[in-house]
Amino acid sequence: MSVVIHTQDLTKRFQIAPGLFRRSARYVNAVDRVSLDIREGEIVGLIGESGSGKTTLARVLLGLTPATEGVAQVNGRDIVSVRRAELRKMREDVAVVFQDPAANLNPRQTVESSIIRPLVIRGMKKAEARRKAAEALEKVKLDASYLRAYPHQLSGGQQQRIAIARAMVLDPRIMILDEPTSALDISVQAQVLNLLLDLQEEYHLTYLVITHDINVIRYIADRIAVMYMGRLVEIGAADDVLEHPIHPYTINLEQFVPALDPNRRSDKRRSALTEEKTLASQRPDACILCESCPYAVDRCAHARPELTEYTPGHFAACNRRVNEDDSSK
Amino acid sequence: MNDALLEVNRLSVGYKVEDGWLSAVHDVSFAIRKGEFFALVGESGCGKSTIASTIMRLSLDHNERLEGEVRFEGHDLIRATEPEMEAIRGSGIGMIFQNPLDSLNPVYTVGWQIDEALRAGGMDARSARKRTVELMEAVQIPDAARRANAFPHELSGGMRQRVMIAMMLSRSPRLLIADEPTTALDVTVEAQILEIMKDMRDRTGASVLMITHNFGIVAETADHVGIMYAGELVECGSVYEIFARPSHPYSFALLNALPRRRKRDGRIQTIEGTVPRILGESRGCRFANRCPRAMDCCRTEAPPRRELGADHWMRCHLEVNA
Repeated sequence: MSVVIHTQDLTKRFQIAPGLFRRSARYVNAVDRVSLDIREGEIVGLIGESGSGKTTLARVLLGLTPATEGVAQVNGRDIVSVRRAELRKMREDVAVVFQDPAANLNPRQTVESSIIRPLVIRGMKKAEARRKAAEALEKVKLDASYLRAYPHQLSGGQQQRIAIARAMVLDPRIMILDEPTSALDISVQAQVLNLLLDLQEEYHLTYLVITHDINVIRYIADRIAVMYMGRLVEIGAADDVLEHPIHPYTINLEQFVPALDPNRRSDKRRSALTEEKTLASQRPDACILCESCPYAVDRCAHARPELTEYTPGHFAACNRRVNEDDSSK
Repeated sequence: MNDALLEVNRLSVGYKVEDGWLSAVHDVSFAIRKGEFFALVGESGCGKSTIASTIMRLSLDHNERLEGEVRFEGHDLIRATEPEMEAIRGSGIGMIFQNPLDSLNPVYTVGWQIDEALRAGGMDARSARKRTVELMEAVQIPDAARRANAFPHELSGGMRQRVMIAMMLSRSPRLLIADEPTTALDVTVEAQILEIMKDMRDRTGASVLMITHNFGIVAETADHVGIMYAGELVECGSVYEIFARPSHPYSFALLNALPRRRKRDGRIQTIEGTVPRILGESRGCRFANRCPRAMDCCRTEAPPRRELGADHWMRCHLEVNA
């Protein structure tokens, strides 16, 4: 399978404190040397807590935020050094759906004008664009009468379907879905997740799904990538990452996921490895967990671990291989 | 039930809207025992938050119609006067909300705000601060003495919610109402906050009413669960019963809509249709228009209460063994 998204040491740096001289300014790497390949037709789930850099990574891949360093290619096109005109072409291949369904749509435009806008901008005739819009609505299983509706007349689930329809209208090959169901109720979430799975199978799409909800990721993802404080700490097949996590951060995170089953309630007291840290405590030459990790060895404090393949296709950035037995705790 | 701390009996809440009375809560009855962790769960608009604010009598709106009773330690709060409610809020029933920033005053330090709650209970300033720091330590705020001098904006979301819990604890309430207390937080922080609440219940013997849409939280914390749909309590039972034997067609569908499997094991179920908006008197079952097992009587007659086992019941026309 061909690689459709490829990044190598991709970095996005933000200045957090201004300095009179360059030296006194302070920076954080919201995305810190992330190397990631996404193959055609797969669903990759990107999980991480707030501030882990997952949305910034998505924005860089969409060409909405320029990268600072590294390589990022979408369908073989380099987007770090791309020119504006080419960026527009690239955006035809990559569509996006954001978390807040209302924010995806212009409140003063009908559903139809929201959907046909990207087509008209690209020079399509209005009549043709309208036909495409009706088609797109059919794809998301909504009646054509919704074309004349305004966003406020729709429920959250309907708005999110419209957002997906608009993302689909340019026939993209890749969709980036940033918390696509976090704002939705359970029954509506189920509808939207099933719709996304149906579309992915029917049109052989590639998804990068960003979410903090591990239960959602478990349901839909083929592979899972875990980010923490700007770094990719683990990536592998969904079963491997969920059943046999390697990185202490992943192990820690999975302990905290509510089980959706009272018989698997964790009554033991758990302590987090990560006490709401901020990116400001990032150290370039150390493991991000070096201070709190129970498995830390000396080198963790002065060597940044690189992603290493532990079992076929399962990578983690950890200086010390964690015992398999420990991961089941 | 003798050991009930809170009893809600046939509670109905209506709001006046342009085109009539909107029935937000209809004929809801349940009880919370001393020391019990009770979760009221449902999708948005099902009336769960309305019940919480009605218990606290937070709505001063005159466009509201209340029927039924809310008995807290035997006193009916629906008929309580405002001064009586003042005495109950805080020391009898404490409440925390989803967004702690809405509840904290931005221009005072968090320590000052907890002190204030203690001083309102008659404590002098010096002992109040000492107690504040103890309370902040009890909710696992590291370096509490220093953090007491922080302003709300200087703390993370998880720390702010801990401050709210500390403030609530300062009055030692017998019932804690938590309305989506962890919705805005990361999972690790959420787990810690829930742990603190369970721990607090164990230590003080207070009861908890948790309002949530998150079944993960329910599975992790609750002893008893009530499932609401469109303003009505449709099923109630122990957390183990509800997860093992959801019996009302809505509860059954809702639990099957949870992403608890992998896609290769088949699609999760969905519930077609939308929640009705009920104006005025409703006849029949409110779930009838979406229910796969609806019968003629479901559209015309209010569903009876069916006992499903010890402390487990539903409101449905279906025969229990059908």
